[in-house]
Amino acid sequence: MDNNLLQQESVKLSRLKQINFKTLSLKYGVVVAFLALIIVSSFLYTGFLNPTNIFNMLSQLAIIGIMAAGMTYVMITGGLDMSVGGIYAATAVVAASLVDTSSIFVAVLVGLCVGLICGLINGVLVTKLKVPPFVATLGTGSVFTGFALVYSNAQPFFVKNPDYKFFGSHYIGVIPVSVIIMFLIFVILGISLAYTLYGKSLYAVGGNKEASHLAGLKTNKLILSTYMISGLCASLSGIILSSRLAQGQANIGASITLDVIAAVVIGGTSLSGGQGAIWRTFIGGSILIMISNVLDSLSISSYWQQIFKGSIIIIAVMIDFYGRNYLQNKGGS
Amino acid sequence: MSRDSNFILIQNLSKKFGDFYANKNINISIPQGDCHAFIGQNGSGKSTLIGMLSGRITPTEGQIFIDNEELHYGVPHKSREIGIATIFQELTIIPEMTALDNVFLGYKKDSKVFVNKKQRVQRFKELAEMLNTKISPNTLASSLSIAEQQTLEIMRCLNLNSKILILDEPTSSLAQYERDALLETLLGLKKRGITIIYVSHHLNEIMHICDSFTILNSGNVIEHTTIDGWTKEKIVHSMLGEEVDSDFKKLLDSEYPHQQPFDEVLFSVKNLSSFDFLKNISFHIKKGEILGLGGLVGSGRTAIASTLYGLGAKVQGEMMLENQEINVPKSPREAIQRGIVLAPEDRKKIGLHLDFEVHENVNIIDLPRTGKAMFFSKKKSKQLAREYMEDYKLTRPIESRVKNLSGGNQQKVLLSKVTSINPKILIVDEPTRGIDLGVKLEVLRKLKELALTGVSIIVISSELEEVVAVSNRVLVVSQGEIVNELEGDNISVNKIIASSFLERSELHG
Repeated sequence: MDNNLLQQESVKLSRLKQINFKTLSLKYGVVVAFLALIIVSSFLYTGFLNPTNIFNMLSQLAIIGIMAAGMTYVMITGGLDMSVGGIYAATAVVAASLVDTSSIFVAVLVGLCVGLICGLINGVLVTKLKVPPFVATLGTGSVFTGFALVYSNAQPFFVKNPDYKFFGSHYIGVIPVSVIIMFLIFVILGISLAYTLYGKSLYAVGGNKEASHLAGLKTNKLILSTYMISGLCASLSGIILSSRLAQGQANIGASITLDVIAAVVIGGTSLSGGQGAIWRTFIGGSILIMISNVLDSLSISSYWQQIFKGSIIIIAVMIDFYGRNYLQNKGGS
Repeated sequence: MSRDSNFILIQNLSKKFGDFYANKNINISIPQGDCHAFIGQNGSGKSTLIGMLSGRITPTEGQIFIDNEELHYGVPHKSREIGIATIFQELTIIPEMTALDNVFLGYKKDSKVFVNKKQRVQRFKELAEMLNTKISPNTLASSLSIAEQQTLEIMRCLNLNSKILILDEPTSSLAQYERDALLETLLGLKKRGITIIYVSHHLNEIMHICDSFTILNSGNVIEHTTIDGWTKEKIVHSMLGEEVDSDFKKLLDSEYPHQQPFDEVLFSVKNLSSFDFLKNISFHIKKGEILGLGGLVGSGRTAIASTLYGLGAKVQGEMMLENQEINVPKSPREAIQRGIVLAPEDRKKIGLHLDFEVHENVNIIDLPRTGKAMFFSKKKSKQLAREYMEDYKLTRPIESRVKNLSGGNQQKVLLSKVTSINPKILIVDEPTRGIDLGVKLEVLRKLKELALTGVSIIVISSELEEVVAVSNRVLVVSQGEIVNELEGDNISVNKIIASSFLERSELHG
């Protein structure tokens, strides 16, 4: 009896030892950074925690957040989608051009189809034609941007129908519609990735593609699906932006791809696949938006902000890399 | 030319890895201009010996003298400077570079800053003539055949004025006519006074070009002599030594005396070919039968397993499963649906998801069974995994990450994964590699138990004692073909090895 109890105690103790502080901080370090940033920011910028500022930040987050959620799916399977900026621009011009000539419904539907088709093209290139994801999507990204420029003749499409502003600029109660859309996307994609069989198989493919194939998973179809989800999310963001500006312009996607990847990576989703989560991307995106919000309030120029952003991405990737190595060595011993 | 009979002199050379002697007290001498063969089974110590000569491996004790000069051990470039060039199975040709640049790769003598291309081309042509080849210096290496790439590698060695050329299984990836050409080339080099150390499983080649040979077994020299008066049969006999008494066999036979194939033929293949390598593979397997595939590494055993599991390339042939003609599976998924599963050789790389937990690994082969609606139920997953793993006695919790498990436990996870779908045919490739003796026996017992329940099992293992111990019947595979079939009391390690070394015609002729 006593012996038994002793054994139980020692088991508990050894479990406690397993939950090592360093391991924990590497796993949830991004949450700590997020909370710390909120505290520091509220000191640096007194209006930081005002509801108006929070909603302002959230509606800025909506656009890159939605795209980053889709990107997370691609990166979980070990891929990368450099074409989201192109898809975003192509959707914005196509949707904006259709609102006044047909209807908002048609414009949105066609816009989303643009995203799906672009994603399908990426997916086929990567899975069937075996083009490395980075190169394939860098190429298609240029093609999609080019398409947007040709389609719009490099001129903005202005939208006259005021109802189209619903997605980008309207509120339901006090909450911007775009923020509601973003939360819906995060919840749906988050649950689907973390709790469904589909999500589980994406992690499996990202963790070990060959073993997944041998276990009978349809690895190509799974990977293809992530590019379509990423395309769909990018086009949703394109619609929100064109709605917010009441115009569709082809040159909007130039720098957004980097921000989107930054959000995912800062959150802690691995560039090598198999590890990550949608909630991480939400936090990563928030960190990015908060930093630029505070820097704006301190009137630091956007040029400097670029330097900050780039450095943060590098640091995040380094933490990911060294942290993973550390955890791996620990696991191995 | 005075022949120095102790041109290569190896004295009391040993190499220990941990407590294990890979080479023990090797004493051999090889005369200048000889072609000398190292012969032995997998794991007999040939590679270690070559490794020490080429400077890749530092010996534990003993000495090597080349032309009366002692070798700097464990320094590859010192071995090269003293005149030893090694051509490994894996070629070191850079496909994006021209033939010329490949031959002069790492060559420093003439290049001060600029390369004297004219001189190099001239030298290239001399070397090409020496080897009787017509490769143009400006061809990209990627457009050359494997045999031609190998020739480039030999040219590279000659360019460095190597006196000793070591070739490790050089013909394993060559077509017959290319083999013949290579052997002619080597005979030519021999005439020029170059000493050749030739490692090959093909005794025909050895009989053709070698003057002397050394037979190794478990790291010891069994025979060291000139080839005069020897036949292939005599070499094989000498190589095998005493029949290894296999304890596993006695034990398993006494534990499972009733494990015998059922009468019903479950599965058969006819004239299967794949990978441009497997030819005329025809065999059948009965329900509840354990069929061993014997043969050397690279003989085609794994290729057969891959092809049956839907991973083949350029596949042709017929398959019958339960008296119905079926297509050769085109993907693992299709194979699984037909009830064929594979526990692959490389557990960590392609067998398991190392970052996943045990129960997730077990269920990944059929994720839907862990589902509640579309959602993954961790509870259900653990519960199912516990059921499937019950017989395997996993010594760690089912929530452990697989990368933190020992090799033995990993193998248990892999086996319970593939057997969890109640397969009709289970293919296991090297099921006991890298796991300790106790677990090894557990795995072999499990195979016997599965066979008793009617599962047909195909076993591939380089540890032939194990193949002998568990199999009801053994097919010997060599160079992509089935060369012999052994049954009942006829199954022995020696017979498997003998038939994998001898050609088909010699067995049946």
